[in-house]
Amino acid sequence: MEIRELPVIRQSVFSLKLENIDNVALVKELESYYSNINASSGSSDMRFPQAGEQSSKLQTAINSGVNLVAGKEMECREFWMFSLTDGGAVPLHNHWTNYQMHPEEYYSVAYYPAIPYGAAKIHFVATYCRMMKHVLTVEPSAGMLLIFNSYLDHYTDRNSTTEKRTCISANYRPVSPDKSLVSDWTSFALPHAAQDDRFSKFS
Amino acid sequence: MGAGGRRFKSCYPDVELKSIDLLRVQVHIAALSEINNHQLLEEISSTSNSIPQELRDGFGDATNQTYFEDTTFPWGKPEATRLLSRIEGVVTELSGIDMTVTEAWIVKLLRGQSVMAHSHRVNNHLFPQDHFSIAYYANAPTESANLIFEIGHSNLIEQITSITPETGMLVIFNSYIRHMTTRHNADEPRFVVSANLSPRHPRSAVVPDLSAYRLMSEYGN
Repeated sequence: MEIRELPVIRQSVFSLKLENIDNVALVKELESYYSNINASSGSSDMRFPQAGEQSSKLQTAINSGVNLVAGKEMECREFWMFSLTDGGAVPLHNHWTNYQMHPEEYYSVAYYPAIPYGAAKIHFVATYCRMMKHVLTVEPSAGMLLIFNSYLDHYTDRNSTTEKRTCISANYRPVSPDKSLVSDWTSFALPHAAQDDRFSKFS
Repeated sequence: MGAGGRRFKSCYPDVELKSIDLLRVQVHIAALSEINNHQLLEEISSTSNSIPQELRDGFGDATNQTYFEDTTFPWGKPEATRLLSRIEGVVTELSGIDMTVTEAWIVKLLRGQSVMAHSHRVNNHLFPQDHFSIAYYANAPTESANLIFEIGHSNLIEQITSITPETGMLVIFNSYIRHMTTRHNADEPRFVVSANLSPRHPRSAVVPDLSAYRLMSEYGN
C-alpha cells in the first residue's frame, strides 16, 4: 500500500562552510576594531568593522549565502558581533520585529570565525501545535555560517572555556519585500457606494 | 520529524549549503481499496445512534469534544471490524509502534454542516508523538467538506493545510494536531469514521535523565 506524506510544517536551519575566509586574519581585524555599541548599557554587542579587508570579504560571502537560502535578493540591515567569555551565555531571544509583514522572508545569521574547545553551543527552539516543543542543537565550528528565519527562538548554553567565542550576527531583509496581503479578502471589503451598484440602496 | 541533513546544488561554488530540519510535521494519506464502503455504510446506517446522553454527561466540561455531532461506531459488524483491523495495521506500520484503536465513532455531515476546530489530545498522552488519530471517508461525494489542519509554530507562523477527501481515503495524523472542516456542500451526506489509536504498550519513562538533580535524601545523605 502506498502511504503519501503531506508536510504540514517544514522549518529548517541552514548551515554553510565558508572556505574562502581567512579566519585568523579576520579575528585579528575584529580585535583591532572592537567598538562597543553602547558601553553605558553594559551590552556585550560590538560594532562590526565593515571596512576591514577580511570583514568586507566575509560580508560579501554572507550576502551570497543569504540570497541563496532566501531565493531572492536580500540586503543586510544590521551587522554586529559579540564574544562570550568563560561562563557566558546568550539568553533566549529572536530577531523578529512587528515590521516583518511576511516573516518567512526575513533571515538572520551567525558566523563563527574561531571556536575554541568547550565553546557554547547554539540551540534553536520551536514550539508547535500549542504544546509540542523541539530543540535543535548545533555545535559551531570555525568557518560555520548559520542562516535561519529571524523569528526562530535561539539561545546558547554556557561557554566553558577561558578562550573567547566570537560570533558575528546580522539581520537581512528582502530588497523588495512582499507587501501583498496573503489572503484575498476583496469580496469582504468595505463597500464604496459610488463605485459599486450593489450598495446603492444604502445611499 | 527529524534532524537530517539535505544538501543543495549551489550556484555559489565556494558555498556548501546544508539544510537541517528543525521542525518537520506531516500527515499521511493512504487509499484503502479493499474496504467495501457500500456494506460499511449499511452497517453504519443500521446500527449507529447518537452518543447516549449518559456518555455525553461523562465528558463533563471537555469543551474540546465534538461529541454532540457524532454517532456510535457499528462495533462488531463485519466490514466495520475489518476496517478497524486494517487501520491498526497501517498505523502500526507507519509509526513502528504496536498500535490499537481506543475509540472510534462516526461523523455524518449534511449540506451546510461543518466540524469545528478541535484536537484529540488528552492530558494523559505522556508521549504525544506516539498517539494517532484517523479519518476514514466511507462516503465523500463531490463538493464534500474539506479537512483542514491548522498548525501554529514558533509563536508566530500559522500554517493551513487542506485535504479534499475521497471515498476510501484514510488520513492519519498525530492526535494533537488541530483540525476542522469547511462546510459540506453536497446533497449526499459525508460519512467519516474517526478513531484514536494509542500504543498497546505506552512508553512511561521520563525522557531526560535528571538524576543528578535528585533530592540528596534519595541518595541516603
